[in-house]
Amino acid sequence: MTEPTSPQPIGDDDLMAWVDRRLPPARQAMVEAYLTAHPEVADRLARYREQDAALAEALRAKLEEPLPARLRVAPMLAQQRSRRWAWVSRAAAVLLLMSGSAAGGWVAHRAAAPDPLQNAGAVAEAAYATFAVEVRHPVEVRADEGAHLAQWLSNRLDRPVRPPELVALGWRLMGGRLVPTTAAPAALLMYDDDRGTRLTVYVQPMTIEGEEFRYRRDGEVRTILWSENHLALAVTGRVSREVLLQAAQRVRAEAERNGS
Amino acid sequence: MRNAAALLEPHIPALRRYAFALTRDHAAADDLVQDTLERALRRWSVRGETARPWLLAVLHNLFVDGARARRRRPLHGRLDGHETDIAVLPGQDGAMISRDMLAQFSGLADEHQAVLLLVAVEGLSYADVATVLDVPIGTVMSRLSRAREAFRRLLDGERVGLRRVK
Repeated sequence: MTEPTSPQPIGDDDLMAWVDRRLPPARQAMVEAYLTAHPEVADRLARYREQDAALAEALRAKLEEPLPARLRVAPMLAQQRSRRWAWVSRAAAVLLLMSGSAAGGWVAHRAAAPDPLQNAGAVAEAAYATFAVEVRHPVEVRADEGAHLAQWLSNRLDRPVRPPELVALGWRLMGGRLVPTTAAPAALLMYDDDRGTRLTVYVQPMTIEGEEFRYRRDGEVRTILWSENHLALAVTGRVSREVLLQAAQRVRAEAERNGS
Repeated sequence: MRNAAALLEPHIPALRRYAFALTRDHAAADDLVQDTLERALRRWSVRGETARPWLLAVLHNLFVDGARARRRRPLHGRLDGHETDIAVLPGQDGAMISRDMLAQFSGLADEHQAVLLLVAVEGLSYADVATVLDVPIGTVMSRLSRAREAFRRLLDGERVGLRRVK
């Protein structure tokens, strides 16, 4: 084994690739020679192949099992579509209800007593009022540190948070910040458009069952608030109902796609 | 997404196998697969060739997140109740071997289990495994090497270095 011009020494990765029969041909001969010279290594690798095969064999039955009905894709897809449509139509119903009435209280699809979701709405509005007017420090972490922003918020909220992409609607992400609540911390993401109008997306983890949708107007500031998947989400801005609803739908679609 | 079923369903058996190997619980495995598929359906574009590693990655992350959540607030005591979790596979002749094998396998650290399953059972390329596990390929190789050796020792009845992964 004194081969001074040996191009590249044998490594663990070569040995693994040998076990997996994935060595490039050029390397194959070298490794074979090495194994001939080191029978104890050859034995070990042969064991690895055996145990790999035994593991695969142990799981073979699972691969051949017929699929249960609930894993069929077509019904799953249909159900998702109808769920999405239900949300949109519920949202439309609430906004219609609102169109005549005065500003003020929350308009809900399912009216309820004061509750955690309503508190989340109040915090979202307060956060908007406090930070959307802020000139110098609207956000704590700016959007150009995107990865850091997502990581930080995910850590503090203890669940994956990815700022929704609203560029297609003309909203650019400015950045985000943490917002204290009486329960766990929440996140506020801020967006602006070409005219400097600001929009906030508020995300608060909470144990809340079911989906609800609410809307509130306070002067020119409107908030769409909803719950899903153990999150309260709110979109707030000094924008029209239609613009707000578009943003909310987009946030919802993104939240769904990214999982929760 | 017109042909979502045609695109996704061929991968489901492998997803179920991977999920079952991780959880060793038939119902929990199918829950994981269902969550994975639902998530996949919310994406617009899953390409045929890249679908499998991507789906496995989604499933893997769901499993890891779930495992983390379970550790945070343990619902079912999972101290060393492994044995009770091990399912009897509906195999014909190999049922006994399978159960033994999987029981031994469950003694490996989670990271070692994952890399072995993805390489040796699912047959993913090392590069795809790196993507699924979100680690550099060098880490895949060294982890694979350690996993195989740890598995060998387990099968030989040497109980050393469990639950310790670099």
